[in-house]
Amino acid sequence: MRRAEVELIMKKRSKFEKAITSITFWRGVVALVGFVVVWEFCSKYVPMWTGVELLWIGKVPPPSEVLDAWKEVFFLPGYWESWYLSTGRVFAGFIAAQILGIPFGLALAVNRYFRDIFFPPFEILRPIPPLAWVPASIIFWPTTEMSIAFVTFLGAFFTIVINVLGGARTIDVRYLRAAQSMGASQWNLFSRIILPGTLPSIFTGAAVGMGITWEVVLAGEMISGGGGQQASGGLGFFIWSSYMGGTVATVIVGMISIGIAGYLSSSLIRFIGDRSMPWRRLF
Amino acid sequence: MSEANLELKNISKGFGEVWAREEIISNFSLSVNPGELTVMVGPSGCGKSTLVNLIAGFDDPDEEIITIDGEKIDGPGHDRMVVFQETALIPWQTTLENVTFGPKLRGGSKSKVEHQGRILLDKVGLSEFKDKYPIQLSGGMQRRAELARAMINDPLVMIMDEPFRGLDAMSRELMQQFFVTLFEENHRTNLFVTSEIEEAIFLADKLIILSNRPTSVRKVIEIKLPRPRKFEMLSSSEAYDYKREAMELLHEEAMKSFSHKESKLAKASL
Repeated sequence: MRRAEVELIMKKRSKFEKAITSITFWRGVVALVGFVVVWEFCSKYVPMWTGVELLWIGKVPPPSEVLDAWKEVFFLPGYWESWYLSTGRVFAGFIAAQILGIPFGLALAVNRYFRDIFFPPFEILRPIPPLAWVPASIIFWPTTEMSIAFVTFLGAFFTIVINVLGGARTIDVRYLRAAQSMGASQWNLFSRIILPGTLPSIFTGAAVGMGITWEVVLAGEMISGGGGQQASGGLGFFIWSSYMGGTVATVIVGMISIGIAGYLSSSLIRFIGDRSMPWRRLF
Repeated sequence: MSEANLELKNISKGFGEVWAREEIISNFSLSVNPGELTVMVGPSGCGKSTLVNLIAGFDDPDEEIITIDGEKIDGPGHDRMVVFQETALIPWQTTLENVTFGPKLRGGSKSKVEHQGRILLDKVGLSEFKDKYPIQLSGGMQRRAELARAMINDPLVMIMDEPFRGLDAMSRELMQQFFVTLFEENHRTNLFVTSEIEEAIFLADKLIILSNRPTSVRKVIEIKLPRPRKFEMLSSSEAYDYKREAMELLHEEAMKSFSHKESKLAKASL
């Protein structure tokens, strides 16, 4: 009886409530606040009181200044447009990479002929860093926007494929054998064993791939965005133009924005991952 | 209950290319009588698992054939269910989904199959855990779920490949008791592989002592302890004699492998 009651109370409290009352949450808050305080102290008060500018951190504007710069850009449509443009590019590249990468990785894993033919060229292309594709990509594709999208896609594609392939190849053979002896067809083996068995690796690949697409988009925007035309804008360009014509504080605003955007994107992937793999979030 | 006669005739299996072939199983013959619990014991690494893979149809023998009720086996099939070493429950299926997986694959009606699944889970004492995932179950519960998953397919032969390995002593004993009761209830033809002699004697109608590699049958011992089996029987003088005989044979086989290795080493050092 008593146990059931406790369980009921536990269920009544929402997930959100549980999260903000947990010690983990408050440790995180303390860590972030502590970080900002130390930063403010080292960059502003140490030089003010002692007259000594600390190495590196002394050149960085303190959080209070960054906050002021943020307030300034916060109400400018240009800032939010940068968010919108970069996010759009990241997701376009990322989703394209998932759509092509997951089936490609699975095909490599399950079909020997497919693997023999496509794995060698894949392995030669894979080590080429996405940014090395930028010049060639600008030449190949008619618009700058397309070339950024392509480079972004490449950034995630290779990681996704390698993860899917690795995940599918390491599925315990006993699951396949058990299914086989119970009468599973080839399609059953694929849909009931290989696909769910690869899901954890698909999400690992997605999380890493998401990080890479943000890196690549930002770099792509810095390289090509300065050229104006259709492809201007984006957080990468925001940082670049703040560096060229604005203040260091605005550059840091851009950097932190990217940090937040990246965190939100990977949280989204973790969330979807948790939903689609109930057997993994038990302990 | 279904009864079957599993027959292995002069089975051989080796691995590697012709010029560097290693025979794992050679000239192996065995018949498992209907309704009997046949237990195989052998020194570790003697090819027990290879033998299980052949019978289950995961692998093909090089020579001769394996038959069930006179019919040659061809690939895996649900007439022979294997309960694997450690657990092979599918991690992304709940206990009930795992148990009903086979019949559902073969197109059984969902409600009927699930009803049957619930009955079996009840029998193995897991009804409360039907919606749990395998990692939420203890080792012993996982093994019982696996037994249920095998039984629902109503196989002609159950093949157990060291099914209780990795369990702690306590759960192991409970599982042995549970398993033997289950067997005595339905007398389903069973081939049980183990490396524990006491377990073997406790369970078996017939004890097969395997030789060292290449594996063949060293000796067949009929275990004439009465059924239903009780753990106390293991301390009877009869059981003691079986144990001593088995131990001696296994020791001889183990020493063979030892001296074989030593002679190889000696050759290598020359």
